[in-house]
Amino acid sequence: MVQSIKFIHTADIHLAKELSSNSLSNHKLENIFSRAGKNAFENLVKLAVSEAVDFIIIAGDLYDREARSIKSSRFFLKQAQQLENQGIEIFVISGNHDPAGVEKEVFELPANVHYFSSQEVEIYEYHKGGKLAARILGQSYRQKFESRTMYNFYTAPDQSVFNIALLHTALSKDNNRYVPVNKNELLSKTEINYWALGHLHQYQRVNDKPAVYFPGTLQAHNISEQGRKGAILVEVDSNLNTKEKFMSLAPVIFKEIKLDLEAKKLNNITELQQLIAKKINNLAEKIRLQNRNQKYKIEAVITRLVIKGRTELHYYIESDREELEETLLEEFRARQLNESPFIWLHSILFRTANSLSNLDELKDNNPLYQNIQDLIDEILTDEELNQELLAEWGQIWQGDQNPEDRDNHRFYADQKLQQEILTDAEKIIITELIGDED
Amino acid sequence: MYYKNLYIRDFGIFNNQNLNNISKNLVVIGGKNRAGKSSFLKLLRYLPYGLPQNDSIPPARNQYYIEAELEKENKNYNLILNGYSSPEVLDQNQEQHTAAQLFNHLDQLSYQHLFSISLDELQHLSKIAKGKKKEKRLFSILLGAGFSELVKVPELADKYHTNAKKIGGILGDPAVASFKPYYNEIKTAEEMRDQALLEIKEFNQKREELQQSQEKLKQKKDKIENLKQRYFLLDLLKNNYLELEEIEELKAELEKEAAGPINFDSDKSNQESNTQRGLANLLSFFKSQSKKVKKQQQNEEVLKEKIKNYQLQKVKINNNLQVLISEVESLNSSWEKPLQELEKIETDLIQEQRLNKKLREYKQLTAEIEKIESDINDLVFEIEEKNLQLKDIKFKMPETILKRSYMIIALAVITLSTSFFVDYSQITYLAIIFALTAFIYYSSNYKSSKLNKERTDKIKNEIKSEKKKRKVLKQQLKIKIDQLTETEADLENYAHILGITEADYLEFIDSYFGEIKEKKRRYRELKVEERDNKEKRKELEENLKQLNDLIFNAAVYCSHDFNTTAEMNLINKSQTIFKDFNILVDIWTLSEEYLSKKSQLEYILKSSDKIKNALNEKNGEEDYYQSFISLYGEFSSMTAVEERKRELSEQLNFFKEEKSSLEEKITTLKNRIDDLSSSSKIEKAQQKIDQAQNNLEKKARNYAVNKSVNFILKKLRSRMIEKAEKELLEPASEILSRISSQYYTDLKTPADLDQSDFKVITENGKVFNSVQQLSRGSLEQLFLAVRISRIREIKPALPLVLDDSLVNFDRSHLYNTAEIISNLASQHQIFILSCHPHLVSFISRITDSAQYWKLEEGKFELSDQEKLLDHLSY
Repeated sequence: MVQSIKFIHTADIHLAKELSSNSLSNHKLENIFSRAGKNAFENLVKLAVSEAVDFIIIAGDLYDREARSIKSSRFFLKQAQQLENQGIEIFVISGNHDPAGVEKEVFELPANVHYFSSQEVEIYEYHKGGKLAARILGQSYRQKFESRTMYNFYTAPDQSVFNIALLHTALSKDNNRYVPVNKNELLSKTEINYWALGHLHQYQRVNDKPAVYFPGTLQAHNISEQGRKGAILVEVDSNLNTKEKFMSLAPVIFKEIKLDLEAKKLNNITELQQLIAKKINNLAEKIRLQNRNQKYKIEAVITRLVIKGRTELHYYIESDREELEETLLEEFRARQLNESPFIWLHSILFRTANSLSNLDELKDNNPLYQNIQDLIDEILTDEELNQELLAEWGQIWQGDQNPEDRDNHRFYADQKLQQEILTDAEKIIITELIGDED
Repeated sequence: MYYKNLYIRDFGIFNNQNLNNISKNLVVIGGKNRAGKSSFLKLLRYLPYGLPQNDSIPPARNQYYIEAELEKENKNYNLILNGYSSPEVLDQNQEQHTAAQLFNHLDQLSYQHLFSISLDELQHLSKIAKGKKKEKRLFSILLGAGFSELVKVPELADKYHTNAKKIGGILGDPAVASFKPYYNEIKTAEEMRDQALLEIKEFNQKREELQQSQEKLKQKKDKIENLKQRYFLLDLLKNNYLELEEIEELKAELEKEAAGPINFDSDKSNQESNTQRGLANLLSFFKSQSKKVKKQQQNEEVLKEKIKNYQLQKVKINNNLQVLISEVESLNSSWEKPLQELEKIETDLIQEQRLNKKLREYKQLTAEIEKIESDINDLVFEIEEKNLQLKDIKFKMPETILKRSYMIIALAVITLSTSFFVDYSQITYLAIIFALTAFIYYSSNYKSSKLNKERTDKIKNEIKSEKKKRKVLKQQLKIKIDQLTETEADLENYAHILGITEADYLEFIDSYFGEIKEKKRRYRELKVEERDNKEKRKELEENLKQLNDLIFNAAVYCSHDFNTTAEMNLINKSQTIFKDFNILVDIWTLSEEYLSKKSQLEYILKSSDKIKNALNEKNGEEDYYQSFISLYGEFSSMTAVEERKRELSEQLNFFKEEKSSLEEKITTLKNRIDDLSSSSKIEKAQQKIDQAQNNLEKKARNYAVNKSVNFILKKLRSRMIEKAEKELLEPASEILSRISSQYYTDLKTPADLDQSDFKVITENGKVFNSVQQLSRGSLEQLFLAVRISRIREIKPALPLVLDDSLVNFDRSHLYNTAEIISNLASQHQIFILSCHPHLVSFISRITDSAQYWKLEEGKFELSDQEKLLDHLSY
């Protein structure tokens, strides 16, 4: 029988990293968006205090490599001090974004903050009521990339208490940049009760017992990080049984709204606007409902509206895509400004195509159509062909697969995006090749 | 699929024409020019798709109307074309179908080009390579399924390539074309961000710098403070320089006076020079003896006066003594040593009073003795007189009378007492009578007797007393005489004491005594005076001794040789001592002056904390004065002090300037640190990057879409061509080879797929890279071969119309072609429209199964080979 403990597992906070909101002008928004990361962290602190947790573990990337500022350091200092006043400890490893973190801290941190060394695996013993209650093992990144396997040295002396291991990893054996290790290797370290992972920005339960978790980022920063973000509240009873609960803490979430115009008979842009308004209102209503049962409310949703499908409106859209985009953005942004929670239109992506009256027939009968379909499928599945396509897409699409290592001026096309693009291309080809009968 | 029956009610030249039981194989329709062959070709061409509303087809008389009965996969369909509307298709069950269904959904263009190409149209083929759109399309159609669309491919691909190029250049370099502004924005923002990221470094640097600057500032401040203090000290020094000079001079003088080598100072840590020590000792001596010296100094005059007085007194006493001696000598010339004699006279033994009393007593006693002797004589006389008187007086005794009275009273009492026992009242009365008798007797005799008695008694008593008196007087006289004798003896004694030898001393003893006494008193007085004076001398000696001691003590500390007191007389001694003392006092005064000035200065130094701090700062010593002196010692003159002061002032100004520039720097640093700690540059940069990235991403997507279109199109085309080469050109090569009697052996698409052209190789290995290099006939052969190959590929088979397309073939080639067509006709319904009899002849030679129709002025008539040959031959 050991002391029961309670802690919060978080990671990938990227303090002070700006949200990709695509807004510069409005002060209110700037306030909400710029403060989102901080608010999320403050929510984390509030949660820690209200749940009277024993400690918080941060599994790397507390700071963002590209957003490391004095302000962010000071912010963390203040929060840490607040936690110190409540007797809550903080255990931190630094990740690929804040390697060798403690050396880079601008301010002297309070005594409750424990940074793990980047030289070797360290074991902190957490004492509660004078008795050893848990061990926390961890090792920080030394540099931006960390090819050391690390996990091998995560060896707890015994299983008498709850052993928590902090590791910042992509959990992929092939990824030499972010601690190459796989799940089974982690599970081979039998004395570890809880693997507190970090690096992937999406909450993920990798394994149940022993628990292996990614808490995801605390506050999403761009549209690729959709949905609720937060941290994991872990309760460990005296028999070392755990109860994990994902706690939504982020005040701003990202969401892509898809609007398929394929089956809709739209005659003009006004009708499109109505359709968009309806979509947005539905989303707002949904968030309102969710907020009702939520302690830490969602203040805003940053959305990307994807309008796709073959539509009669494509002609209008195509005639001045940018202006229409601008108009719609302006309108819906203005409409939402005073709503709560408000839905912020990050951008509108038109992926429409001309409507084809004989599309079905074409699909059924035109061998070329089938050829095109086959070709696209092949492009998506055949690696060589796929590479050929990506080469066609040019340097701008030669961005690193890992968003963290990607240049700002390059992009990476995952399967989904490739499919989207090819779908768009296909529509164009169909329209151009088969669609128009002269 | 084939046409079974055709009914042409209204189409150009045709009016109510029926073609029934049309062969499903080879149908040869022969007719001369303007018979309607071209119209029929057009009719068949448009029948499945409806008629175009232009002048490419012959006009209707009234309204186009054509009916066709078709068979496809053993099913019959009726097709009705009415006017310009799409053809209507009904099956046996009167269910509606589309013509496209029947015609394999083959697009109109492909159908038209493959199955109903005209000679004229074929003649255009030579222009294919010239890149005209229409020809290109034809080319693609020839290549196979979907090639009608593919013909647009190069152009479309170009279009999207151009689109893409506009967006992102050829290579999709983020730094070009429409990417460029966003790319630049990102770069700028990244630059900004990187700059901002350096802020942490800068922040730390600035903090470090700030700390250093603050330390420096502190040093400067300290330095300034130090300089100020030094300056202040110098100022102080300057103001007190003269004073100090004086003090130092005094000190020097004092040092001269101070006895050097003797060191009483037990403080071993004091390593200063001996003179210094001497001075220190001297000073400390004077300090400790200062009161004494001062007192001595104050007393000096008094003492001198006293000594003078003493001297005077001494003289006076001596004088007085001489006077007294001479006086005493004159009083008693017998004294050789008068004062000793005088001294010897114990006047104490003689009390003047007593002497006088004795003298008085002597005189009184003499007088009293005379008086008593006279009194005694008087008394003798009186006693004689009284005795005479007494003899005259007689009288009864009063006591007898009284006795008789008492007896009568006693009788009366007895009587009365008897009355108590005898009850007789007379007895009582008797008693009373006795009592009364007693009383009367007593009163009548007692008084007179008594008076007489008294008178006698009195005289007797008087005599008695006088006798007694006489006796007393005699006694008194005797006493007086004794007393007188005694007194005379005393007086004689006095005279002896006084040394009076004369007998008549009684005459002058009292005056002599007075004289002696007076002399003695004077002598005594003088002696007292002398004694007093001696006391005084003692005192003076003592005083001088003290003074001498002081000098003696002082001598230890002084270099001066003091005349240590030898035995000398007081005056000399005193003079020596005073002389020495004066020297000592001089030194003392010097020291006093020195000390006072020094202490004054010390007081000044100590009175201000500022000075104390400054001095303390300078030497770190407790002794501010010493510090100050050592400061003084650093300068040779006041001018040097002033010079140094000026230097210091310059230095001070310099440091002050440095300080203010440091302060300025600190302020700047602080501001910068404040700026940095609240900087939102990173956020701004991030926002900028984000925004630019968003825009760039859209462009990139757009670029990718365009590029993809281009890519897919090109891929599609090359695939189709590949496919065509394999599936179409190979068989076509064979056909061409057969048509050309094995002259042309191979048919290929050109290496450059973007060119709509063919490559032809002859049996000799000659390569024609473009159809343009071929003769017209060869070209037609080539296209026919391709067409046939293509037609063979399309299944189910569709009816084929050949409109004199073989006209330019030479006979052998024509024959070959006819053979091929005949073979093809086993699978396809083939309409051959021709005006050439030799073609009919060849066909009839090759096959028996051909059906022959004669067409003349829009009228069809089923015929046979001979009739048709005849018709065409003439």
